[in-house]
Amino acid sequence: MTAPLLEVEALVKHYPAGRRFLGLGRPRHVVRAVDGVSFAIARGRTLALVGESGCGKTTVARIILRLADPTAGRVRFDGVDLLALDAARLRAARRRLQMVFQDPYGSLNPRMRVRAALREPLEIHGLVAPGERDARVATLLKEVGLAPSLAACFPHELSGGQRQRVGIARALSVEPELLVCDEPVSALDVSVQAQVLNLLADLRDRRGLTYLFIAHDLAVVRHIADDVAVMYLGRIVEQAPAATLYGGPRHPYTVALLSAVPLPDPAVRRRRIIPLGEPPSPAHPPTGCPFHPRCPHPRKSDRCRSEAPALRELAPGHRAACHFAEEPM
Amino acid sequence: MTLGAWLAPLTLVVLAVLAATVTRRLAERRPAGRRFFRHPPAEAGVGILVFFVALAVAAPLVTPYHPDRQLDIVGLQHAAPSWAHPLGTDLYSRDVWSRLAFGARISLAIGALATLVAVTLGTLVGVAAGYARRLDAVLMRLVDVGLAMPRLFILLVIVALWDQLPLPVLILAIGLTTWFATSRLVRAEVLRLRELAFVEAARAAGAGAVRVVLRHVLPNAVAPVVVSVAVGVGNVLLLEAGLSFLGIGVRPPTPSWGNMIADGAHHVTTAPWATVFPGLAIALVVMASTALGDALRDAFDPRPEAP
Amino acid sequence: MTNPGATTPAVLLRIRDLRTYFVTEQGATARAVDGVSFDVGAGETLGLVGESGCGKTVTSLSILRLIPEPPGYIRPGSLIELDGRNLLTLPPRELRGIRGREIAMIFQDPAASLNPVLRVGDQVAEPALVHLGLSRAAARARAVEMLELVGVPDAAARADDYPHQLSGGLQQRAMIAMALICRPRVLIADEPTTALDVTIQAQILELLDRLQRQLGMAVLLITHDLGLVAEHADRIAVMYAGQLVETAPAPALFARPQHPYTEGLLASIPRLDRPRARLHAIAGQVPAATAWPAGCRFHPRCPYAWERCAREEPPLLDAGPGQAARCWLVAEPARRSTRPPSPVPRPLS
Repeated sequence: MTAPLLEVEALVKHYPAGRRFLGLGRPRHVVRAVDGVSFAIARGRTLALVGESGCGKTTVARIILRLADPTAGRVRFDGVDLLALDAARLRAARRRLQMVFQDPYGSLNPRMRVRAALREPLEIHGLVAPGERDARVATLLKEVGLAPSLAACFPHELSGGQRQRVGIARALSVEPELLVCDEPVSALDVSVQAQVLNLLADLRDRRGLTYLFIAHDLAVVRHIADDVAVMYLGRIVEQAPAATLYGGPRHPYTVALLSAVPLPDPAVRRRRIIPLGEPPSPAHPPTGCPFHPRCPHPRKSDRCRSEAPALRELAPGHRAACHFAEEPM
Repeated sequence: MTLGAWLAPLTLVVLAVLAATVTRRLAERRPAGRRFFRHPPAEAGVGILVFFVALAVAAPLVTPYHPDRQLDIVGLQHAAPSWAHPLGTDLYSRDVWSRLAFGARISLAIGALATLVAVTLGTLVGVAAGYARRLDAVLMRLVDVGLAMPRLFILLVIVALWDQLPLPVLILAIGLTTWFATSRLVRAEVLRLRELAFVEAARAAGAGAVRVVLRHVLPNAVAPVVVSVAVGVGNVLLLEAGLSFLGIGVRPPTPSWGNMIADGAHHVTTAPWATVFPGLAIALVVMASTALGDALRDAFDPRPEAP
Repeated sequence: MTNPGATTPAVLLRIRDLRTYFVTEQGATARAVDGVSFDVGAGETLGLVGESGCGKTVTSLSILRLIPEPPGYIRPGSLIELDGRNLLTLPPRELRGIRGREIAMIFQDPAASLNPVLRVGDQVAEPALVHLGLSRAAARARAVEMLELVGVPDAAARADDYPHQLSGGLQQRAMIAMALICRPRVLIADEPTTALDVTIQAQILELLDRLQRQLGMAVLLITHDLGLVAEHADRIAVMYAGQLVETAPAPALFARPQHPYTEGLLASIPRLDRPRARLHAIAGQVPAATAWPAGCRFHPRCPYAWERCAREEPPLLDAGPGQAARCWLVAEPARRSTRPPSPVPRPLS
């Protein structure tokens, strides 16, 4: 088996919270944003990281791009330990992995024209001769389905969908191998969302990209992901190839998530499995299994409260962290 | 004063009005310009500033008398405004109008240059503190000290130590004691900008700190800087007036609006024109610069669109 | 024109030909809502669906006359009636009596809609204090009752909390409690769950369903999410470019959409219950409210359009029992070929 392009090992990110008086002593709580996450993505595959707010998926993405530093764990890109790189090598590595951000309204500098925004990565990495950069900008715009005349616009003159496309073009300008997409369509209207998803799929096929796709919408993810990993309270609770996850989920949280997605078809009546109560705060995670207070599984027992289930392999490529994963709901 | 001599100041007024109208006409074409002039005082502010700047620049051309010339110590001391002396004469029988014009040079220069020093220093410190976490604590403690210190006393000490305080040193001293509030404002804006997605995107693309600050943070932090400049000019003018009033500002016989007020202070009831006109000039310039500051801040703000 | 309210009993809210325009700073007129008519009856939920820029939020704000006037204004000729009373001609005092008491509204972002410096219980109690003239103690007791009704655990204690101490789901429940404390007859819910996680969203919508049955309210559910209205609306009205382009009972809308925009929307939603396929994308983008296209407003993006569509603006045409669509295809069904609309998005310019 070829080595995976991206490997994340036992990633942990804890934030101190609740400072004591004058900062003396240890902080009162620790927010466990990411609590031991491991996965690997093979070249050319798309892994989706799904979960609701506060599950840690965006933090994982930022750590991979070294926009934040982890408390523990390793990130290996094409065999190279990203966390050990010095500034110069890190800059070179940044050519190969790029990010598409969630907020089309905030991810572009309001004072920079599109042309300048797209030229910047080229300038930073010294790609393309200075005289040719404008031509490259025009090519990039065409590739994401925008007219090259938009290069002279400011972000506020463009629609949300157009801005998101510019963000994608900017990420592609350095010819990366891995693209981390952080909720790239969440802020877009349905019809625009479809355009951008199609674009992302086309680009991936055309350029042979690898994606780490982060989202909270399981329906969106299904259209683009090869593998899906579900996160809850900083941990991965289930991971499987997309067809398996949607066809036969094993973890109660995955089952609940899937059943909570509203279906645009009133003729279909489904059994709704709704988790009880409120999501816990990452500063005070429950003992044992993090999902147990809300878990609607009929076999839930004391074991769930005292023993945290390990993420174990149920079938090739399918892992779940539940004591009763063999008896799905 | 001859009719011809009256023409000169009138020309200035006309020039000011023209400038304001033309600027407005030109600015209407762009959305930023329209936002600028949405404030009613903005146009007046432009006119007022143009008037006083033109007055300062063209002082020798528009004034019939030399500002230091004592015309008639006996006869023209504190003469009321008349055809020959439109703003009257002061305690030393000098023409108030001429002194006002030359005083504009000094006062406006102090206002502009000291504010420039203060805002530049404040912005540098604010950006450094906001962006580089390690410097933040140290720099902000420095700013706290600066804000707590009694500025007037410090300036008094400086003046006392110096025999004949040259003007550039005065400007520098005022500038170095006025930058603290600006740095706080800029720091707050930088802290906010640092978290925005496009700054992260630049970092993710491999941009170093210098590029991020120069190309992404600073251009978007213009608003507090502009406001600081506008408010700063007003504050400095008032400060200079205060210093001159205490006798430690601009040394006579060089006219400044501050020391003109000082000269006439004891005779406010009998010869109000000697203090009222320079005071009015200060008030007008302060109001104009504040109005322009507000208008500029709005003009610079590219409105974020709601989805 | 089809009267969408003809088959439902006890029409509570009647909107006829609502037009809300805004004057932009350049002097142009943005026709945000341009002739919208619908009814909502007691006990029924009307889903108002559309994407951003279609005018649905302006519609909801117009009903309660919360539009800032200037730069907005509701054009004369519009009619908004609550149980026979014309809301547009009411004097301000009476209008205030309606807001929060007979017609209540809940908004998208609960964190932004709750005052951070006031306790939750006080905020929930406020409409009762203002409209029902209850004493502070009585209003407070009623607030706790409402919080229990909306499913806030430990309601008496939570009523003393500040909004930031509550999670997003609990904040939204508190907002619902505040909206319903005076037992309004009409509830306008403007994207009530967009800011919430999907598992909490499901809880909140079930709550709204239950409360509607209990209180017999008319609910106007405004959202961009077709999945939500499929599960929670009785009838659906689709808005585009300031107008209603299709109205239908929920099952009919999804089974037999008549308007190409509805078709396009349905085809572009990623769905869990269909095989994975390339998503259909509606070509082009929403036009600006200052310059709606001539003729049918959807025609520049419509795969079926022919020259009549660019020339004549279609009215809402009857397309079946309780169903109407603003499209010439209803009059000329032969032009609706069996091939699905083209899935290739044209490049944007």
